[in-house]
Amino acid sequence: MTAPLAPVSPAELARTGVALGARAAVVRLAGRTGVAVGVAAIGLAAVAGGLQREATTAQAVDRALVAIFDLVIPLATFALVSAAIGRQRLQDAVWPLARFGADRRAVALGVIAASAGVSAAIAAIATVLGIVAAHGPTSPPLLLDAVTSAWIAALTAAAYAAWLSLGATFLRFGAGRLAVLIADFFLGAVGLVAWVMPRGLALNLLGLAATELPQRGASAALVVTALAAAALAALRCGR
Amino acid sequence: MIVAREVAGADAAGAHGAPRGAVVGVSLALGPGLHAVLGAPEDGTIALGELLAGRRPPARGTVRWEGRAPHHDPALRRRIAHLAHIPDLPDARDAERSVMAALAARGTPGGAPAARAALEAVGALPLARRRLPTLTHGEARAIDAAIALAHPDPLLVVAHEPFLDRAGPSEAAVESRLRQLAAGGACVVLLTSSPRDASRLGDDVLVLERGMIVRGASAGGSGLVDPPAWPGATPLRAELVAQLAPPDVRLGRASARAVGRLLADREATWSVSWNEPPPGVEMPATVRVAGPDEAACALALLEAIGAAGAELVALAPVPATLHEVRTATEQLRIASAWYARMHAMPAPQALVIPHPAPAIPVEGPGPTRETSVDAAIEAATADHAGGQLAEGPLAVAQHELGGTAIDERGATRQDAALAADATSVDPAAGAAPPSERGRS
Repeated sequence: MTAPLAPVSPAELARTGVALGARAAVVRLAGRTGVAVGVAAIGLAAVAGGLQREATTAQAVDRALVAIFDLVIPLATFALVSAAIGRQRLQDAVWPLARFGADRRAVALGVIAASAGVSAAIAAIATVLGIVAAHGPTSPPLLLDAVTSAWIAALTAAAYAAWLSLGATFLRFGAGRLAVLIADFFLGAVGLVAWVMPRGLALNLLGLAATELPQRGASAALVVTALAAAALAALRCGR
Repeated sequence: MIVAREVAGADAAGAHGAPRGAVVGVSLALGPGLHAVLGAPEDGTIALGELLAGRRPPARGTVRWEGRAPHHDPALRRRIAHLAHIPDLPDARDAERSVMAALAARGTPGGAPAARAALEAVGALPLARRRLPTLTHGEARAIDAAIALAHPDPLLVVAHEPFLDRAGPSEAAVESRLRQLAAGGACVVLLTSSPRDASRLGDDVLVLERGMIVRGASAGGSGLVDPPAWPGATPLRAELVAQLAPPDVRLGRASARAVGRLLADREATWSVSWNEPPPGVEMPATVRVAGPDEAACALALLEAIGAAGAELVALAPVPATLHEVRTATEQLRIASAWYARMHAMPAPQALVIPHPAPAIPVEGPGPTRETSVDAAIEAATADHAGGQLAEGPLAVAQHELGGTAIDERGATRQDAALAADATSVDPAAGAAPPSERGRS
């Protein structure tokens, strides 16, 4: 029917798997659910900023950021990861490509990367809009504040995506991701857990947390834990 | 050659991801050729297909192709074509891009033209621009079939009900491609609940029941519904359907009813039914006749048609149903347990014969068959009629699959229970069939 199969090197197999996984995840995220989540997250952040400014302009930006990092980013990322993976485990979500010969781990990394990228972009936009909405005469310079908060939000959302993907490899229908969300909500900023989970590290980066890591250290910790979570999630998918 | 050893595993095809069927301790070795596995999803056909295709790892046992496990080896999965019960298509903007993603994952060059060619081969090209969520189940299966059958060089093809729930007119194309792949050296495993499809396509047929391969049949499915020749066995039920030309008084052509009336008195027939088109409608009438012997039924039918003055248009046997196959299997199981009881031996001893099993040619009205199961049973029954039972095995399905001999035990827990019951019975107490003696 067509030309016989040519041998494929492991590196090429991995590259193809990551690319195909990312493409499939982007297609899922570009659906109604993904768009609705993005719009809702950005809208909520803007509303939160506006409400804080209406209450009082003093520290309105800080309070808006707490609301965004406490609720909007985790929940939006959770919804986006769920949209990318579907109501199933990550191991099952990669099967449509793995059944044709793609490496499960590579496809999983592609899915996680796409989820993290889209989540990061939405989180950054939402944070900037929240800051703009909350900005007042006594607030720090808008541009610097927005840029700094935006990259922290993007990094945090990407870390959340990795952790939630790891959670999605556990329990039926990938319900482990909900356990990760709940654990992060209640324990993410407490004690040693705050040095690992995105919530604690993000609040540290914003200068609002109990941990005393320097900003560079907290950023590195966020990146390292996110990469570790993503790698573990991919490994749990098998080949 | 795909080799499964003592494989156990369940699917997740039930409601809310619950298992719909499972296999429990299936062992088989399938080489090049077209192998049909006959059973319902609840018997474990979906689970078996998913295990062979590497969808999930076995809970117990191993599935290997030359030492490599499909679940753990992406390079091996590239060489597996799987037409699944639920098409897991790669997410893409439309069907064509989904096929392209699948072909890219497989490493098949060609891009969009190759995807369109694959779709066209099964008559699914009109679906190319459709978005995946808008596809019906049958349409999605047609896309899945296009991807599976477009494989240029598969080692293993796992096809679950390739002729069911599938949009597109090309049943012949699918069958032809499956045969072509098998002839090319691929191991094609057809999982179906249709005895007709299994018999028609399979070089051999394996019967999967309640998660176990209980027996088999050779090409053409001969022996699938033949009952064992023992005194308690229910005779085979053969059914024929004849199409007759519409009755016409001017031409002196009788109605189907007249044929049915004549057939009702025949000893060769158990039941007769007919269906006539309304007056003025030019379509054939049908007469269905059932009896213990297909040839006798056909003869009676032809005689009745001739006597009544009707005109025969077509005559065909009604394919056996899965239920009839299961009934025949159950009779075989009872016969083996009965044999074990008479010899006061555990059922497994009665059910297993050592390799290689002697294939005994059975002479019958049809072509010569070689079935050790039927032959052993017939031999045992013949000896029993003479007052003495032959020593030896009774019910083992022995198949030559791809040059390798394997056996499938018919033993189940039920058999073991029957045998345990049988061992407590004094062999001298008599050798009446269970239907006559009853079980306490």
